[in-house]
Amino acid sequence: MGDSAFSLPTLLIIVPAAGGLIAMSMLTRRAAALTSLVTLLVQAVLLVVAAVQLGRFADAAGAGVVPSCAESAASDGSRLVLAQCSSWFPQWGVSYSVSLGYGALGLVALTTLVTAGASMFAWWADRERPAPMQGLLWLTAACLTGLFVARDLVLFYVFFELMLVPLLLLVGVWGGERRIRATMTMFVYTLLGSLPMLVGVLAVGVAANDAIAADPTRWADGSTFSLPTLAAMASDGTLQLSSWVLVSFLLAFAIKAPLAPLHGWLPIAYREAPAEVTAVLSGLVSKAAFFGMLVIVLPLFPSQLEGGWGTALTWVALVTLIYGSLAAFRQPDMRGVVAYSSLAQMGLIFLGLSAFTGIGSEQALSGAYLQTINHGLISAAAFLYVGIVERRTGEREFSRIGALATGRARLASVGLLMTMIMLAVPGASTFAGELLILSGVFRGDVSGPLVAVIGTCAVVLAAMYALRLVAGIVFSDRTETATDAAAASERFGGDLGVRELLIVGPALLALVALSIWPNMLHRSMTQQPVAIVQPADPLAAAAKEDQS
Amino acid sequence: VIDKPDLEWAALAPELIVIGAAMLALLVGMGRSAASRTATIVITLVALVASTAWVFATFSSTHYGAFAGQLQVDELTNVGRLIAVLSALVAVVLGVRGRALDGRHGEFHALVLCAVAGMGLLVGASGFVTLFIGLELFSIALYVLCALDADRAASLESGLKYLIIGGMSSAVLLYGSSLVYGATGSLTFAEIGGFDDNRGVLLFAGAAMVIGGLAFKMSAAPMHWWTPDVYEGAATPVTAFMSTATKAVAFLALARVLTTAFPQEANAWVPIIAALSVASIVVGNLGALVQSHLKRMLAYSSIAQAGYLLMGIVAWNESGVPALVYALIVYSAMTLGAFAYVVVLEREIGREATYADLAGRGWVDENQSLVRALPGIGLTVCMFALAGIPPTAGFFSKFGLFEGAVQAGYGWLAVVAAIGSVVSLGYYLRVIVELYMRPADQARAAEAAATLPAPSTSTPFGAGVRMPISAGLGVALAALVLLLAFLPERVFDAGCAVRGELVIGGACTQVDAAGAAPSAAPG
Repeated sequence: MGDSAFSLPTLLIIVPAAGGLIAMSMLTRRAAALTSLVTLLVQAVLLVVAAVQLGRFADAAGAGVVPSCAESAASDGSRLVLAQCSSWFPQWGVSYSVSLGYGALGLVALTTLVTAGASMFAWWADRERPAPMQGLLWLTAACLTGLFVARDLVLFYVFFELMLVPLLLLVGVWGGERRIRATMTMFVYTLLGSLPMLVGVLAVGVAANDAIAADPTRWADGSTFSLPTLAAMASDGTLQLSSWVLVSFLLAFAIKAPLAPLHGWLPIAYREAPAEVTAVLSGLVSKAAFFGMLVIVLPLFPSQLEGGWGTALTWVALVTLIYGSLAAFRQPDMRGVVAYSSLAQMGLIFLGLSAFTGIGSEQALSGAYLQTINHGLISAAAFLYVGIVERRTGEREFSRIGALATGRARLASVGLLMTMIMLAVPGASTFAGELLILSGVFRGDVSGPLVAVIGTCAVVLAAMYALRLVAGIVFSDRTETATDAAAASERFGGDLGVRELLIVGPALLALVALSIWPNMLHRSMTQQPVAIVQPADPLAAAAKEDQS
Repeated sequence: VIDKPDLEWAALAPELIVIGAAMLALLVGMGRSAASRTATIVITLVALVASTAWVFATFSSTHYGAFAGQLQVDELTNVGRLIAVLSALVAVVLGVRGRALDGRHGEFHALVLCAVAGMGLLVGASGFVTLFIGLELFSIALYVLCALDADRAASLESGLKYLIIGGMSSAVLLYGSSLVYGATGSLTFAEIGGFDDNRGVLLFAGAAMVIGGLAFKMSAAPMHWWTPDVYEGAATPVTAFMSTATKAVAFLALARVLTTAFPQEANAWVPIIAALSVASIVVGNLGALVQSHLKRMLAYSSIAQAGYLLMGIVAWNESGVPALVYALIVYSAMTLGAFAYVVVLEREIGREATYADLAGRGWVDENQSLVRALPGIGLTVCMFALAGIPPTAGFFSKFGLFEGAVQAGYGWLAVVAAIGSVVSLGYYLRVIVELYMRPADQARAAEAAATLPAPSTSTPFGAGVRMPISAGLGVALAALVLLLAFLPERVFDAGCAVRGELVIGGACTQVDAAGAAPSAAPG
């Protein structure tokens, strides 16, 4: 990277981080909200610039190519580059490498959109200590952005752990009555996964050092923990990793996602956190697990995954999908339904990841990526919608509310739209995501038709819980006494106002746009997940160039 | 005829400065007036700053074999000196307004300075004689320092306990070195390391006792049981000094002894160190979980941290020692930062601080300056750093130690340490929970406001805007903990010195046998 160039991924981390710090030190609620708005606008402009750059890069070099640092810098002499590599801890082979390739841009855009909704909700809900809350939400966004653009294993790990800090404070300070218990449960669960993962990261480093020592000329320009280098090493078998390293990574991501049976922290954390933080947890934080699987586990452990661990992952994902769907259907409270539906959807996404090899892999991986974006948007929207209902009525359980549609057209329309996308009606982008995943799984080497058939049946369960959610809030009256419903309805007051529509609207509009024009997620972006998992052999590519 | 040994006084200058200042401080401190107290503090601070400046100015200059081969000054020595001097500086500043030292300021400052000199000798020792002199010099000073707050029975108890245990550990160390002398006929590390015949049981028993003696000083389990009582009883500035400087120099001295005198026995002592590490991690973390007093919690936390730090010695010939040096610096900064907050809190409430005393203190009222939130944020940073959460330097120090262990084939030790870190969240996080997530005890606050004549303007929580110097120091240390996460190359270079290697072209490079000049071969 030239000295005069600005790296877009770094800017995308710095803007929310700086915005968050400034917002935290604001003295009034209005000033904090204004800071949030400015942060959002700057971030949005950067994202548009990045999308244009990525589009130009993809046109020049062909779809599916991931810009590396050198390529990005040399591509067009632009002053805004898509990737950056700087040395950080050279003694340990740790570098500061970031890139907007590999589908990172879509996830960063998702992060910005969901954080904006959460920040708006916090402002609407008039939280106590508004400035630190706004600030911490944007700091979480900065950590997530860093995680999505990280191209170095240690850098990824740093952001993976770091995002816990603002989340911990968000849940612990602004949560419900059992917030401290929720905080501790979430933190200890997550670190129980991520600290063994740290040892796994170090084991990868040792193996990479061995590989570099064995062939120093070939890996001369890669630092020890650089993910592209590691993936290239793994694809030609020079990286020797034992199975427990894989287990340490799988465990960390399975807890973070979460997958059953490691979801013990999910019910209490999703229920006790304030609604906007739950939206971030479900919409964004769980995506960190997906991304970790995509850029670390699948490229680095191909042989172990094909040798049995992939099958195990498939069935765990399937169990999560079924269990989450059934549990969602049985929850007595609104948030419980969305929380367990989130669990189920993570199961579906991981099911797509488990079809990483064979002819179905391209479909399954791009499907998992698309579904990740879809689910990030829909679960955030659902939690915020439920949060509005909770905040207005002061009730959480279906037995105390119902039939809120009367005289509230906007509430009902938004709820219905949300439900349709959630249960994946044909035409919705969620349907496209599910179809891609399941057809990929059907043809997958590890998964196969049986898994696909079970998965297809399980996906239908989504209709049950999604309809129950919207019906329980908006249409049917399941309250024990008529007075309850009337009281809740009275407390709810008028229809959704402009501010409430602004909270839920953008995510839903994005989903509608994705449904109409799925190509919005640029072809190069959905193809890149495939490129990470099945990297072209650099030597073969070079040989091909020589011939031509 | 005995040749007159080569006396390189310059090699000993930082110690000479503080010893001279110690005598001066003792004389000036005999007065009971405020002026005498101020003068003593000024003398101490000037001496510590001068010593720091000398070490910095001559950081890379090396003296091998000064004082008839008894003193070795290299970057490792200088790192140890810096940690000791800067910890002392922090302790002195924390003690400035302390009630505990009223009328005893001369003794306090003279003893702190003596301890610093002893620590400098300990890390510079290249033979067992200097090692023992250094150890005794700072230990005896610390026995008295612990008991200095003589109005409190706990302080006297602390001093007495430390005296008895410390005396025992010195005896163990001394006996160990006599066994080593019996086996090899030499007291300098390099000669012992180069001795080739008959490296048998006697030598190994000596090495084991040396490890045991130094393990007391670094409060590694199972030689840890004095730690909580002594740390709790001593005045908090003294505790802060003890828990950082003593531990750091003991680690550096142990690393030097083991790698220069007993490299051939590595197969035997590496498992011992690994066992000490596991024991410290388990005992420290479990013990800290059940404490209610902050100082006791920090005492057990320091035992657990000793366990992590020992991993750096386990991986002594890999990347472990540079990581150890880095981790020691980070550990000192984050521990001192935590103690700085405890000092301020104790001064405000007038008794030992518990978790409950922290409740709600992280927040500032809307009409107050945000500067008042800084001490709480500083404590939070230090707690996250101790727990090893990025992006604090605490994470990178743990990362380096873990990497060293994994590279040395001790992956299981890293897993134990990782699980220990999860457990440690139970108590580090509790501080943050109290600071931010629990409401302040209204009744207690009202009572305090009613009984106190007027809120002191010098606390960060009172009515005034001024931040006391101790709180400011805590914030500065927390900032250092964040800063150390970036560009610590200089710190790493110092780690090479422990293996008698110099840094050439960014890598540790072996020096020739004379130990005087780097070999010509590139690294």
